[in-house]
Amino acid sequence: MSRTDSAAAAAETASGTEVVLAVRGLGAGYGRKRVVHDVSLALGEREVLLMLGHNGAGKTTLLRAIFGLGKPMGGSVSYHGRDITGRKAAENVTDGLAYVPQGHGVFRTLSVADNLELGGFVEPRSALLAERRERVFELFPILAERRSQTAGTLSGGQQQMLAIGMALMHEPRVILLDEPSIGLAPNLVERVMQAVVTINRTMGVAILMVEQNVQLSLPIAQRALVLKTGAVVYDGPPDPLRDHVELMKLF
Amino acid sequence: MKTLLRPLAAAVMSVALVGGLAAGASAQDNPKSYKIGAILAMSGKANWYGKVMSQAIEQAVDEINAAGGIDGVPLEAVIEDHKSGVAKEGVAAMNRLIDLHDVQAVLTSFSPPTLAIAPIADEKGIFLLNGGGVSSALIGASKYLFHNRSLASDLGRAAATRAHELGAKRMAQLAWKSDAGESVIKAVEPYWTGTLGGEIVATESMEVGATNIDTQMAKIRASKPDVLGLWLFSPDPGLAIKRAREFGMKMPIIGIEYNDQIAKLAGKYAAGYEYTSDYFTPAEGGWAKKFADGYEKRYGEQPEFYAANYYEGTYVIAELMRRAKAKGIPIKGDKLAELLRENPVFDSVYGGKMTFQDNGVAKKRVALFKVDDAGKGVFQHYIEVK
Amino acid sequence: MDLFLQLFFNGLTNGSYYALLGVGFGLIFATTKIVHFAYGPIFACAAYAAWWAASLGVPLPLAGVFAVAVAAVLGVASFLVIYRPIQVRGAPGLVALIASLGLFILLENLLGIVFGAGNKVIENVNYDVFFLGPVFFTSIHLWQIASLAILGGALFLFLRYTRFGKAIVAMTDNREMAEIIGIDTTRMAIAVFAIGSALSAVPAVLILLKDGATTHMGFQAVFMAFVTVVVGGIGSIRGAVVGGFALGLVQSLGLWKIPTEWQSSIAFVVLFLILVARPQGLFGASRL
Repeated sequence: MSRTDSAAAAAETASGTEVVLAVRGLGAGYGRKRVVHDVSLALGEREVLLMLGHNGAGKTTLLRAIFGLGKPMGGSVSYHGRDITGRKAAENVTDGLAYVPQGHGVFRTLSVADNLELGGFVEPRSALLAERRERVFELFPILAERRSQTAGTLSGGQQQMLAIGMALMHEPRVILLDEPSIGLAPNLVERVMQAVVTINRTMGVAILMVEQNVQLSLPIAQRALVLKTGAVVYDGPPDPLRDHVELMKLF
Repeated sequence: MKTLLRPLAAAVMSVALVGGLAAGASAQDNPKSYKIGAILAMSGKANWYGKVMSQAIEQAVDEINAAGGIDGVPLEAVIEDHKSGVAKEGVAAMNRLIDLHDVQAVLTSFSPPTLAIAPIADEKGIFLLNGGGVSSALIGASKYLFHNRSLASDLGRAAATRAHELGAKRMAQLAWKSDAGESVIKAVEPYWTGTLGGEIVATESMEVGATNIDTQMAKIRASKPDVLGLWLFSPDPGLAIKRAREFGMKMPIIGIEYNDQIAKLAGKYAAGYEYTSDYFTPAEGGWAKKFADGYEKRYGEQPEFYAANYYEGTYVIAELMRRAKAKGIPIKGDKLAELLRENPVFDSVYGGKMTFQDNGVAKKRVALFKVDDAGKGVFQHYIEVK
Repeated sequence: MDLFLQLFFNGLTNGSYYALLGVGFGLIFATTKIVHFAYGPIFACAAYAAWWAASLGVPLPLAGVFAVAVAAVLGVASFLVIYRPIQVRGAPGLVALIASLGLFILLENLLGIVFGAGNKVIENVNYDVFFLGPVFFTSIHLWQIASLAILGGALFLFLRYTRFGKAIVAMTDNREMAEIIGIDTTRMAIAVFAIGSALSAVPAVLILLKDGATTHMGFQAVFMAFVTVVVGGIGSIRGAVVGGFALGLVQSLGLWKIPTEWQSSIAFVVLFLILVARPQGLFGASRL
């Protein structure tokens, strides 16, 4: 794994903000099979970076490799300027990097409250946890209502809200969000996107979001990335992608 | 040169052939040794038996060889393992003995492997002598199979006789779920209910080596017996005695086996337990004492009847081989069996002589023992089965 | 009626024994998804360790503690040496299962070689025999019930109210999510193997006192633990307890009218019925 000197190279994104998460020439895959090839991207502070791509383009694999849930195959990842390539997930969490997996990552047999508590597992101070839990309930009142309900019995949308809420419990500075709209009805998708906006604008959290629902996710992003068969084919402002034809060219 | 080679090769080969044949012939007349095979429990749960049996066999072989062997030809024991009574292992062992060692006589033990090798003995004409297996199914299993120990059914009926002596009328039985256990039930039940006029109030079975027999004990207790018969072998009687007493049962318990392991397991409850057994005692003097002294000197402990049986068995086979040689008969298993039937009387290390009956079982007296407070079995008297 | 009461009580004591074994085995399985057959011989090793210590003159309680330690160490060792390398290589669960069976055979044979095949008992153990009406039992039987209550209860509280315990529960529910929220799943697996194996040492020592130790005792232990977990439902302590009692009672009372020859078959029958009627077990996939 080569380690390029990252400090000077990309300390700032195109928009002039500090880079909080930088990926350089990252490769990733399963077993021998390489699915992601030489991907580079930079996420700025307080930025929402939208990652688009067709199924199997390698988006989830890329997120997992960044977070440490799968060994990277070459390249590097740096967080606030520090190299974190291949670091274990647990260390990333304590450092303020969160990952919300695809398909409602919750503990299905436990209650909403227990799930949230576990979300803040790395934080030992219970007073802080209580505070954060209240903030999550403010953001998602429906979770407050159902705090004793078993997570597996929540609806898809509620589970997704819970999953996001769990990430917020350890007060991350960067969230890797994997297809939050999957399997949700459009009104719920909007609700989720609203929450993402709030988290980004109000709580100042940088978000790298993978999405399939281009229409509903494009409006909230500051920048967009298109991944095609494991390589970046577009990296720039989101507006050009509103044009359907342009988009089709890239997918 | 080539033309010379062929007749030269032929000459060399014929010399070798004749020489080999000659050597083979003389090997027949005077082999390096006569081999006796033994298939014992050398490993597994019951390896205590294998240990004492093999020790006794080795002692007998050494003694016989020291006295000149079989007319100058030494005896050799080949010990094989049936892994505590696994029939398949017994068969494999038997085949090894026959194929690799050309053995003609085998000392066998435990009922399942003995039953399994019986057909092989019939087919290949191998002499079998059993000093340890007790199932009635063994009788007649092979025309070359003989026994120098009392079968379980004999011991069971002797135990039942004793129970009757004690005045009991309601018997509960706990037996091994095996050939041996079932053969005792089959022999005891008609004897107890018919000849002795008693009643069987409970019949329970347990897996060989099982440790949880709470249910069996509960049912036995509920049947309110006035005697409990344990048709089990080491080490299970120990647990059964302990359990029965713990469950508050106070009636006499009679079994067909006892040894140190059973004593240890039964602990303080062993006292008062009675059992029937083949009885070997060096106190008989003569050969018995000589054997026991020799055994103690070699192995540091006194021999009991299993060792005695296999020691004796080795001598029986040696004697049969001697008879064969004297008559110029080849030493083959079937011939040895014939010689035994011709003259079925042999010296017994127990004292005096023993006679092999028509069914192949050597007649020996069954003794009654009672365990004292120190956990030792004390000889009471001999039992005559009615 | 007397017989019924005695059998009922036997069912309760055996049930406690099975339940505690099920709790330990189930904890390991639910958390790591490993079918740890070697749980059986490690249980046997604990009994032998206690016997050995006692035979050297160590007082019984200390011998028991020694047994617990031996079990915990062996459990953790089996994870680190056998299971983890297999998991790290991404091999399917079947490979771990086969490795577990291999370990089972190896350990049992080792016990036989080191200690010989006889039944090992601690001599001069005096325990009280009680009777309550028509029912007889010993203090060992009481300890079997008490150990379940104490240890099962302690484990329950631990899992529900401590941070470490909750992390274990999270891992049983969703292993990947547990990693994602920052739980060191390897550390948890080690802990769970230690706890689960240590739990089995207690029934092991009790059985040593009651019946003696044999090299093959591990088979029955892990078999009953396995059936208990399947019947009670994976991932549920409550399930393991109920499953254990159900098994013990059915086994005992079932033989009330059926000849005792069928003793070993009853467990199979129960297992089969549950698998057919409710494959996830009585409390399968429910809260602890």
